[in-house]
Amino acid sequence: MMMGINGKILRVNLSNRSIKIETPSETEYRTCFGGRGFVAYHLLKELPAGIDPLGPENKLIFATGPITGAPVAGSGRNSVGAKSPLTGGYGDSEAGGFWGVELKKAGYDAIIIEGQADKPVYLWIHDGEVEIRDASSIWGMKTADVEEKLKSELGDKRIRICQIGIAGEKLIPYACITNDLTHFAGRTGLGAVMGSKKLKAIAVRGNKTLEYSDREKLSELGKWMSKKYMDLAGHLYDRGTGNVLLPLNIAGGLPTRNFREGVFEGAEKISGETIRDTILIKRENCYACPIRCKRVVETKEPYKVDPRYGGPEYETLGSLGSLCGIDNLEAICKGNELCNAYGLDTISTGVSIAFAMECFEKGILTTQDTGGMALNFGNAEAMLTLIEQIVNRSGLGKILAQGVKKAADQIGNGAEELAMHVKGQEIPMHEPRLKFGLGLGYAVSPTGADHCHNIHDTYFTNNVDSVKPLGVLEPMALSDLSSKKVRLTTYFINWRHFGNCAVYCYFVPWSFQQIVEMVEAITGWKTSLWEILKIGERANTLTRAFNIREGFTSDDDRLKSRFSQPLPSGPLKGVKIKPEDLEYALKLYYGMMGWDNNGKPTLGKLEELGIGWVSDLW
Amino acid sequence: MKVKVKLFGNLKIYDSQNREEFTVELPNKMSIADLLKWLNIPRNAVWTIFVNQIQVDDSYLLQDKDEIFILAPIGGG
Repeated sequence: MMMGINGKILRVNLSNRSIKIETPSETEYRTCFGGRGFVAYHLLKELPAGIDPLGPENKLIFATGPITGAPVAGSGRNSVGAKSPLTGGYGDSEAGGFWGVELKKAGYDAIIIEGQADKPVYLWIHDGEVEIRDASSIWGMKTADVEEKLKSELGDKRIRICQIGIAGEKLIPYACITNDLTHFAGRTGLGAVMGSKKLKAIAVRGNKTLEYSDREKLSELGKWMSKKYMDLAGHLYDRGTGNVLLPLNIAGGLPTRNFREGVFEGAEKISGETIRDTILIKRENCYACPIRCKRVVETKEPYKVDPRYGGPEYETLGSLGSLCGIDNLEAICKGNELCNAYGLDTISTGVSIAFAMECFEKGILTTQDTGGMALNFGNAEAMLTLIEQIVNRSGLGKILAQGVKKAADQIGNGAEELAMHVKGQEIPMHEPRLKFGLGLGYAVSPTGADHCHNIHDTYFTNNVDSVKPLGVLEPMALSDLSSKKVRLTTYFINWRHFGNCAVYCYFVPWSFQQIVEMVEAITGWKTSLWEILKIGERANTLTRAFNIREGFTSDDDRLKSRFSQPLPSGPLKGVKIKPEDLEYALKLYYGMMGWDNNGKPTLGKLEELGIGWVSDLW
Repeated sequence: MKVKVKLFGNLKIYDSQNREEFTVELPNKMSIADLLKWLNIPRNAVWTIFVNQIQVDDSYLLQDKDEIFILAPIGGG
């Protein structure tokens, strides 16, 4: 019998208030594992094609994985998924913190939310018991206030809460879901799906101790990382995720002014180093993690922030900072606080604002559209005003609250070329003209542009020791898009998909071998790198199948034309991704994934992955 | 000659004093490869190197007052 799991999932229908407990088979656990694999399997099996992502037919799935909650660093994560209101395709995002672990301790590996409540509700799950409770008193509240009120109402400070903010209530298609106040399932607009179901929050508390096959081995792994983490990831402790901002700028690949440039003159002012040296007051962590990469900051008026909302991650420093040409660190912290309080994804929010700034500078938007605001790059006040307008759907925010793709379609006049997205999801703060493999990964990502289930090429230019167990033996250049790079990218994307099934954190640098040992010690299976890589490939293929069924084609696997134009300055001056090179790489990726030239998984591949039933769906 | 060195990522673990930025006095005619050995930084822990904001290879010969940025691989955020 498999260990490290509860073997039970919850199915809650908010339309008829039914609550069912189901027990997935061990085969389902072994083939889907958890997290993204579980989400993709159930969405594909249970959702009809073409449904409204914000309608009652959509299902919102919270899924832990076998690694979630294990006594090792990086195990504080869970997945959330649904059909995305942002892309119209497969939606999924992972978050850290403590909530997923607490859900497992409360007795469940996953929750499938169906239907829609007729008035605001929240779920209270405690030691196996499940209640659907009235949320009318917390609807419309900011996230920190909800956190406090629910803990007070339920009389236990140790309760863990995931929730949506006002952005989710207002169905903004890039609203996020917040875990434990400072951790976010940020991408693909899952907060809007939760809002459409009028589900404000899920509070969990449990005392169950999960059984593991080999606790001694897990303890050994945990102790090893506790000894080594400063050598392996001390930069994340020291400067947080913001540690990458300055080196990206030095290398000419810091997304700046809507990806128009790769060097930002104000980078020093908004770096992880500057945060550490000026406004950092505390470092925080996720469950069982010694690294403590999360920041808590203190700022002064006029940009004084509530420390409960934490400090900005790199993605936020980039999206609300360099991408908008803003070098005012405290204003960025304020923007971060607003997004976190309202439940807006900071990446999509920043990309939307940077898009509007470029439209303004090009005369596509004028002061008539902005209510008189000079929406130039660098205008920090305008950035903060637009966050408020987006969440209230007022002024220009009414247009930007749709996400850049739809906003650009509405604005027209050449705005489409300035909308930085793939499949409708705004591009994260990693420049594909620096990392060509990552560019391919953006193009083929099932969720639209994503930097997490993706490759970061800089790791493999000099040293491929970490990927030798995959048979990758030679370093390769950043700008390489040859078959060698596509092979590594393919393997790596599938590996990252496994990580999202497991679910564990990529910042904790476990080796392939250690993850195999961890899975064996948790589950009691005899397994291998081959089997768990297949789990990732299966999840990747299931998400692809979902998108194919929704009408996505190879034409959606493209980068915006900006990335086939040369960067104008800096160390990467003149660098561009040639469309024909990306096209070649794309076809190779399809081939290596066992997909046809149109990107559709072949029957042979589906059967090889044990999911031949997918072919009956299209 | 004296050069200024700044270490990024987690490269400061190779400095005995765990510094991320320092000035060091070196013999003349040292290359980047020599500098890495001097600093006990394994080449395969380094992604790339910039001197005075220009990307250089390992054979670059250091000059007095050079400002050297040694970058580790950069992942997600």
